[in-house]
Amino acid sequence: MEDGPSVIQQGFLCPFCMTDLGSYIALANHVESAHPEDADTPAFEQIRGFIDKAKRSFKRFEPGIDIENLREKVGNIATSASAGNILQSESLQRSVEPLRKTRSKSREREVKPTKVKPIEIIHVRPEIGVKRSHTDYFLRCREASVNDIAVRTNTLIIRMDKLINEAPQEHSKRKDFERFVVPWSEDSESSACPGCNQKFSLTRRRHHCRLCGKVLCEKCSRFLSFLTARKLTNPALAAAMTEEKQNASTQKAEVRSLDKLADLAQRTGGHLRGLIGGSKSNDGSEVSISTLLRQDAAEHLRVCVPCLTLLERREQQMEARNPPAMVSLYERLVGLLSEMSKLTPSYSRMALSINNGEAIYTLQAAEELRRRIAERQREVDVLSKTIENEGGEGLPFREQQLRKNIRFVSVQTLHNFISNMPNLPSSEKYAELAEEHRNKVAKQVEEARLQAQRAVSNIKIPSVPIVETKPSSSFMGRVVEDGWTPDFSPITNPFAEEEDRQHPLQEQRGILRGYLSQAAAVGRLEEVEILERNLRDLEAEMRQLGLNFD
Amino acid sequence: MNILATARLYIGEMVTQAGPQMKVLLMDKETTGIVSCAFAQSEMMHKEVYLFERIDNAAPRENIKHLKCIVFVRPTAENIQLLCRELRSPKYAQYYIFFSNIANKSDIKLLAEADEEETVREVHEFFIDAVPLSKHLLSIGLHHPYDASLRLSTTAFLHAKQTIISLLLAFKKAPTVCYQKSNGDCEKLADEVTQVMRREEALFRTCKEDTLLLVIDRSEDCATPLLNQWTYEAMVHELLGLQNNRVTLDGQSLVLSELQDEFYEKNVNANFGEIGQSIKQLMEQFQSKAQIHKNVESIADMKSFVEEYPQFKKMSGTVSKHVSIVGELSRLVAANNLLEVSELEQSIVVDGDHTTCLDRVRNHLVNKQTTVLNATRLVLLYALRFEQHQNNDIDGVVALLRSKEPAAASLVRVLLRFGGASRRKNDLFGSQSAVEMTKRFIKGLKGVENVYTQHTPYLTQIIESIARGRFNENVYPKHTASQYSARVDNIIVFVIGGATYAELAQVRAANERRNQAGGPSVLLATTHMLNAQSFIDQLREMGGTTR
Repeated sequence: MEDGPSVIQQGFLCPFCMTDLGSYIALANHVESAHPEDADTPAFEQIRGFIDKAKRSFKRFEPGIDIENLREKVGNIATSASAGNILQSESLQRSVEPLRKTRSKSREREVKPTKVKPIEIIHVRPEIGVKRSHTDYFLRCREASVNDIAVRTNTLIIRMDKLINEAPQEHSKRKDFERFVVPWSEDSESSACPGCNQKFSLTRRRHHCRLCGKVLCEKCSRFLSFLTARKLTNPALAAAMTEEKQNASTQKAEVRSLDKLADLAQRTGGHLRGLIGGSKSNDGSEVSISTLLRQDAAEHLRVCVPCLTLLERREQQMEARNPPAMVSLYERLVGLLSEMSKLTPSYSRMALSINNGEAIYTLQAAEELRRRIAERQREVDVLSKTIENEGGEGLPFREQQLRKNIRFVSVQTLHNFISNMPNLPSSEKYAELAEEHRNKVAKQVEEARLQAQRAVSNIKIPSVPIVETKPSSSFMGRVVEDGWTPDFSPITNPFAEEEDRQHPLQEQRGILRGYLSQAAAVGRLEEVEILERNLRDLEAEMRQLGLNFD
Repeated sequence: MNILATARLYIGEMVTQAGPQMKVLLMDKETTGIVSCAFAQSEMMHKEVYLFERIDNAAPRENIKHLKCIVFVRPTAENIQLLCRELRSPKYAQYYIFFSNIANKSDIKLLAEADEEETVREVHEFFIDAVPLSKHLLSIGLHHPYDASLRLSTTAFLHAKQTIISLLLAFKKAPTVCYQKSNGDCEKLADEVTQVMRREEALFRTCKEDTLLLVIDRSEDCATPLLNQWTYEAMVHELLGLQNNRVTLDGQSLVLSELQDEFYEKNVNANFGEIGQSIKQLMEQFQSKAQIHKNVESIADMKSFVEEYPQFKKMSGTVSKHVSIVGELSRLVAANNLLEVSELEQSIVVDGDHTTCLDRVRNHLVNKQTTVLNATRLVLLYALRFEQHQNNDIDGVVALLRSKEPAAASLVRVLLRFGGASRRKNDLFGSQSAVEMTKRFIKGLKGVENVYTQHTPYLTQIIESIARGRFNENVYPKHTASQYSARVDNIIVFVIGGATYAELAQVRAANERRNQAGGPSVLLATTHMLNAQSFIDQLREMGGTTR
């Protein structure tokens, strides 16, 4: 519409091939002869139809236009041929506009915009409103400022590395070495501590941050233990230490971890080894790492608050890379729940069909699926309980609440699933049901046959009303749809004689049922639906041919 | 236009954007109201949102580094500051930030600079900035929006403007803006909304023009909030008080949500008699189900009973809840003599026969059973209705009221200053137009169906006149910069100074009519929800008298 031809054609145009026919009669003849699909409707009816089509596209940009009037007018034009215009859709509205203006006032009022026929748009699905993303802008702004911080932190860490690893043993030389690594600012430059704004005096002495060299007072000084410092300068050691800490907390920590740590120290840090050698030169024992750590804990660097903040942040970032055990438990839990949200509806479907006595699924398959679901239910229960109780009372309040809520949702979801699972009949009961169903179907088939004899009509196979069991949980949303194909394993007897072979339809039915039970067992609802439909069609066909099912 | 559905979509989208994993939702006071009306807490938990926190909570929150954090806040200066602090020392692993309205670029920059640990993943504007109390009702929840000069306070004005903008964007509408000419606030609001629409052209580009936005002030109709109501929801608010769809009864907070409570959804607009009937049915159903419970003998019976358990529990939950609410309502109706009071209220605003009304008001005022609230509302209604009647005795009834309500005189004065005949230019009581008089005459001939519900809010007339295309453009002109749209398929009415549930009932009815016979869809938006008590308190505040 919007990008239609720029040249507006006028005249007696055929709506189908756009040729100018010159007169109304010629046009009518042309339409009747050249476009005879609806040969028994008069030509102008077709034109109306065309205009109807055009008007539908109008509504997109001119919804207020009074369609009824338009149609009437255009109809007039077409029949009387007085105006002599069959219009192409985009010229239609423009040409009708002046016509409309000549109409009486009363008519005009009817065309008032507020008079609308909104029924057609009532059942619009609610759609989400306008959204605007600032993420790109945000990231751009962040990049600039974050780079700056990263550079500053890295400088500090490089300095720190030097300070703790290359420091001379003698205490007297230590200070000079520190001043050599980080130039200290002159005492005269600052008369007050930048941290607390208090003037320096005899009692409030000047100190220096070992990392940035700025002056600060005793009260504003923070102390960074060598242990933390080492962690920051040697990420591999840090990882090992966190692991050790975790092991210790689960009370599995043995000498093993200490050994490992020492070993690691050997392998990674040239500096570290040097230090070990320095401190315990004559011993030669490799397990001296624990001593080293203990010694580190006692030593520390004087730093200022801004430097410490930067370093702490880095430390936290490093720790964040090691998620607690609960996260993996939770992942497993969610996996189980989403699996169940697929399997349960599938099972309900099976059970419903079996309770109806149909032979689409076997009772064993349903029982098997039920067992599998029950297994998962138990696992969910155990897992969520573990999550709830793992940390015990010692956890912070929110963490406890989080775990409780996870347990709550799991239990609720389980509850939902269980209550949506119909029972299966016992095998004797199922035999009864199946018999009943067979009789019923036979009766229906008989009736249908009788009916068909009386009149040509479609045989309707009564389909089982299937209750849509909606998966109640949003865990469905997490399922990544992947492809699925059933294994092809035809149940054929290689020793069967040619004449014993099943009818192809019977064979087909066997295969379909095999697929169906496979699909149901893995909870592929969509496939199940399609396969069930196919199976029904097939069985209807077989019934018509008078084939028995087994 | 279903604001509740839109809000749910927005919040659902936030959760989707944050992706799987355990999540915490960080909100401010206003957005907490939005989320709590749109979703039940357990519903959010099923979406893996397990914790709910307030950003303005002074108590320090503990670090939980394995949580993702969805931040949903209004883009106020205060929130930006709090958020900056949060990002400088993040408590959670990742942050997904959603603002409920247009945010300043400079604020985004501030946040970016504060995000030194690079925990933020997404920053968006999602336009849902006020509480979706119901499908067709949006309320800011801003009590006492007026200052002493009877104008909107600066903060209230700003909040109202932002709410309208976000509402339009939520529905993707670029409406024709109309306003009540007699009120300065309405004109200013219409003006500034139009300005924002022009300034934020990019946002409004995809918006449709099939909507009319009308900004009116409460002063147009002061009668409706003063009347006793008899539809379920309105009654609950009038007698018990609804706060974000929650009512407190015997110290217990009950949720009345059309979303989760089927019975409530069906009966929200039903009048008091009908609810009793429905409850009876519900109880019978419940008892017949409970019968099964008694007959449980075998284990198989028990099992099949448990299979019906969730429904059973849910059903018994709603039954007991509504039984206790309706029980309390009927107690109050009897104790406060509400039937008589209500009948008199209706005859004041509808019949308007001065002599009988005056007599009966006097009788009620001296009656000991009449509560202070009811006495006050009768006097206020009398004053409003007969303000211009030659023989009115406003001073006389005020004198009678004074023994119960010391601020009586001041209240009447403020009411007439706020919504009296001189300020409102409309025909509130239908005494001027011939059409309305004829309507009343015919009604009189036919007999009245229900004496307690004769009055219909003035808003109904406005909506009908828009729907019929007979909108009075002298009283409610369109803003000069805005065009009349080709067709009005949606009406958004923003009421400054509070709306009532009686008005919502009318809006609901209009939307139901649309489903059957067509007509525009209607949405009511307002600063807050009123009942007689809060309206009178509001008048008291405007008059500067404290209790």
